[in-house]
Amino acid sequence: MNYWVVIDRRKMGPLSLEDLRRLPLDKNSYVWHRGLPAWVKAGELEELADLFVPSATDDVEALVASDAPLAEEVAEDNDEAVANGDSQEESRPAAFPPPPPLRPNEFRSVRYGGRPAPPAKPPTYLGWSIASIICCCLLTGIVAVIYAAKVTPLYDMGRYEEARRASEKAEIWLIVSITVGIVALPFQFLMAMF
Amino acid sequence: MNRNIKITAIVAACLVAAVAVYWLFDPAANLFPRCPFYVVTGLKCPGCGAQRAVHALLHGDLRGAWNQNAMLLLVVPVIVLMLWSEYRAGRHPRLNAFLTSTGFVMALVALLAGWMIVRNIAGC
Repeated sequence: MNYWVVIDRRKMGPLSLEDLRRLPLDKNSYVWHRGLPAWVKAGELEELADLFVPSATDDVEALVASDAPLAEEVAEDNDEAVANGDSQEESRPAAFPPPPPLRPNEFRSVRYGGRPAPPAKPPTYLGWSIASIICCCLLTGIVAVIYAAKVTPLYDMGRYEEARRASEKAEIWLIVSITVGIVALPFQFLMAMF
Repeated sequence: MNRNIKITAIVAACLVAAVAVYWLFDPAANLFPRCPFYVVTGLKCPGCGAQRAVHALLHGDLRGAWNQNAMLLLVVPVIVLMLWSEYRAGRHPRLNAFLTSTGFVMALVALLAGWMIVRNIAGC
């Protein structure tokens, strides 16, 4: 994936992730890659987050101090590449986002306006699953509980799709439990008779 | 909205019928479904004794219910709380986060598993 970055009000890119990580990035530097609706701050990108953890700050600063010329080299390389022509044109996005505004407040409104809201949390079925362990079906109930317990942690990690699937699995096993319970009912009466 | 009222009415009717049946008849003496797990394995599951416990509870016999299935008295309020918090998650986000956390669910499952072991060894 190609990245673009703004350092000292100069736009650089396309850059690979390794090249990007070698640049003297600030966590407030604006970064963009295809798929983002707008420029975001480097500190908010997952793949760069480890550069900005408090304990690593000193290391990063040392790196920046020693490698300062590298940034200019990379920038020049890329300027040349872009100047060289149309072959690079394909790797550039069809619709380049507008340049980052200089005032942070404006930037924030652009970003949050463009970001899709997370989906609603799927039902966990936890209470029903525990109830099914006690009421009818020990084994299928346990399977339902295992899936139901995964829903919230997955959702909280932002893995919405997996959370939705765990919720569906819990629902299926709950239905299996209830079905087994109903199917077994005549046999349970039969057992009670003898 | 209309559909919700129908569902509520059906659930309420089932609940009233169940309460009536378990109040009128003693599951220990009558034709009531037996736990298939107990019939097959001879081991008591965590829910065994629940019907007799409900019968005892409906007759105000707390001690009898405790003797039939002590864990039922402890776990049913928790289950009701979990169901309530699931459908009111927006209003009590911290309670819901606690009740759906992995640690809490694992503790609950461990409690039920421990209860199953204890009751089969001690015979309660």
